[in-house]
Amino acid sequence: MRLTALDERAAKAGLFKTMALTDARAQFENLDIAFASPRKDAALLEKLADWCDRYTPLVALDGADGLMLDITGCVHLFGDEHQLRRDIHQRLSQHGVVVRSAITGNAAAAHAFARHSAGDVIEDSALTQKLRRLRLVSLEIEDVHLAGLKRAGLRTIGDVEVLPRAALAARFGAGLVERLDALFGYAHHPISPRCVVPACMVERRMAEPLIVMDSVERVLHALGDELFRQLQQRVEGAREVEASFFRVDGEVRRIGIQAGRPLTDTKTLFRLLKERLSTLAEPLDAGYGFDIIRLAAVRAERTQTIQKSLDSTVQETEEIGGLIDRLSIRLGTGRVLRPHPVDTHIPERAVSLEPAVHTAANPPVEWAPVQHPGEPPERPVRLFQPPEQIETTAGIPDGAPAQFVWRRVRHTIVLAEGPERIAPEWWREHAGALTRDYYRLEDNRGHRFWVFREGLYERGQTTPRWYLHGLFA
Amino acid sequence: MVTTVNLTALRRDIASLSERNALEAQAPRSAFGFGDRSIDKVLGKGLQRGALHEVFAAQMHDAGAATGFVIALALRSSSDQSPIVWLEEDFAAQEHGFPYAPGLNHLGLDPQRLVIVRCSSPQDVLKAASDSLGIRGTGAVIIAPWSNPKCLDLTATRKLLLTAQQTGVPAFLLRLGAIPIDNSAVTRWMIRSNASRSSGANAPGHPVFDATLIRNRQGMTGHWILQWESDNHVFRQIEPVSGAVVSTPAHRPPQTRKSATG
Repeated sequence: MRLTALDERAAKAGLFKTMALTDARAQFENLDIAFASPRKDAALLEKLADWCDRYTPLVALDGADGLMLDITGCVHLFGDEHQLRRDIHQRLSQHGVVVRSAITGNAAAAHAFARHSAGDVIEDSALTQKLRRLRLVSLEIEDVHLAGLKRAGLRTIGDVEVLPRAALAARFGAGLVERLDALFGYAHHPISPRCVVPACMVERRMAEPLIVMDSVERVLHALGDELFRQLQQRVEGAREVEASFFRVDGEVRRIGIQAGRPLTDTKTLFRLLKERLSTLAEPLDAGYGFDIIRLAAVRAERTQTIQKSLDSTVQETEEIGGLIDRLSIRLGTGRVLRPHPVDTHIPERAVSLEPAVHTAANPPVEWAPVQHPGEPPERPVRLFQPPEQIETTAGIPDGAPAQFVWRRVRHTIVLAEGPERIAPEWWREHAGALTRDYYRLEDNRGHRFWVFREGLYERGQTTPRWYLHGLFA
Repeated sequence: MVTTVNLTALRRDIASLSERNALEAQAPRSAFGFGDRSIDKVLGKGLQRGALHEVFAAQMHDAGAATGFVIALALRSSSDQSPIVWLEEDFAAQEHGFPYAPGLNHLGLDPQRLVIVRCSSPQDVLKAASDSLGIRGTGAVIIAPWSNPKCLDLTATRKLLLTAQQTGVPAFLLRLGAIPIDNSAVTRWMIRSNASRSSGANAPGHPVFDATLIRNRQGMTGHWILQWESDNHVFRQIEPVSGAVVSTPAHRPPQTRKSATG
């Protein structure tokens, strides 16, 4: 077993990473050790990243132990860069996190300064100078190449930077040149943020954390009004809203809401929010209080201004949309469904159930009218999925069954129609799929069934299997 | 002995009574009929629209018939194109088959109107039902819990009935694998399948229901054999098929068909 991480005191005492545990134990008898858990580390980092959302919505993970914040346009909220950095250090150290940080004009340089120097806020004008003074390790290139550079007598980034790029690339690989370009800001590498940048966002920072739920609700109300006012100016409504609650102890709770049509007012949003809150596995807990509450329209959509007419249908569609939203939030979007026709002859595939939330805003899909009007129904009202196997006695080998046993009850057939032959879709099925012959049957007590025989008699199938697939009205 | 009558109080009572009657007349309590004169005559103005109607499948194999009957009632009671919300408990669907949109289309229900809500528990079904009934834009609500759940009691059904009465949205309790227990439903139907009139060539015909109205808070009960005509959305009363369809066993005395006689 080897050491993977050290605290400050251990580092000062001369221990180092990759050192064998037994060696370390030999030096210090009562060494305090804990087993490494990359999973827990990652979870902690995710939590910190969530917390960092208070500074900017653009937060990305940087390796296994770093965070990259794009603070473009956010700095003035905290005064200047120095105040922002102080704020991060102060708050995080309160939570017992040791932080090293740097603020520079590009992500790669910030990474290098934070990890390989004391870290600071570095103005663009001083960037090149300070970069040149960094040691070669800060390049973070492969060990072989690093050793090669050192052997050549180079010590700092400045030593390497002045050399011709073509020669460097030829000798030490394109990686080194790319790295240099990134550091000096010649090449632009945007960060990939963890969360979607919302279309519109409003937040409230509290001097005193809010503990009472009533006041939390009041703040949310005010935020909702503000959010929808901003959206309204853009003639938009919110299809997806996320409420984030930043707790003083660093916990961040996010609650997302999806709506079938663009939301445009606080009242409707609150109805859905309440619905969502009541379904949460662990309820929203204010703990020591929330210090930031944020409301973001993650996805916005253009709204159509509808004139209220005397005709009440518009009002009614609005109402049914609201019902679909509420039920989808309470039961899950996969449980509130609308049937859509699918162009196939395979009965179980002829309908696809789509979440109603996704289709509410779009015009509904047209179902083709029934093919033979005036005829009795050709499809059952209830379909078994999967079909249930039955035992049959057929009058003639290729005909409809004379009787069958389903769920231990014998049905004697008096009326039968068929077969309706449905061939497998060869372009989709595996080779073993069999043709089905469907029959509409009625037994002597008036029950109507939809059964099929799987496989044909002539193709060497000795005993084709029979299944009950549906019940007619 | 002289009884003193407080005339003012009596007048007030009478006034309040007549006021209540007037209110009842005003409330959106329109009715819907079956489309067949003989049954509509028995039921007076037909069935109450904003009310709770309960439909039982007599036996496991009658689930298809009961479903069809409920769909037919939902179609009779709602206006064209109004959405129909179908709340189905997962277990009921597993046991009796999933509602199948193409088949509903054949019965005359445009699947576009349908919102299917799958609920994992009877509590979910009831909660969603009261939400759906509270919305005037709903055409009809089909409530299908499985068996006899405890939560579906007098109070729960009373609540559903009140909501339905307020908004005028018809509610249909589809009871599969269940036995009738007293509740607040306005009518209660027991549905069995019945022999259809063959459409020729020995093929099964239009759906035929053996419908027994076993409870009616507002009028008479009865028993009908009804055929559903999906093209024009009407029921038609038909004469039961004679027992000739089944050959009489040689060793047993002839027996009339059970389902036809109720």
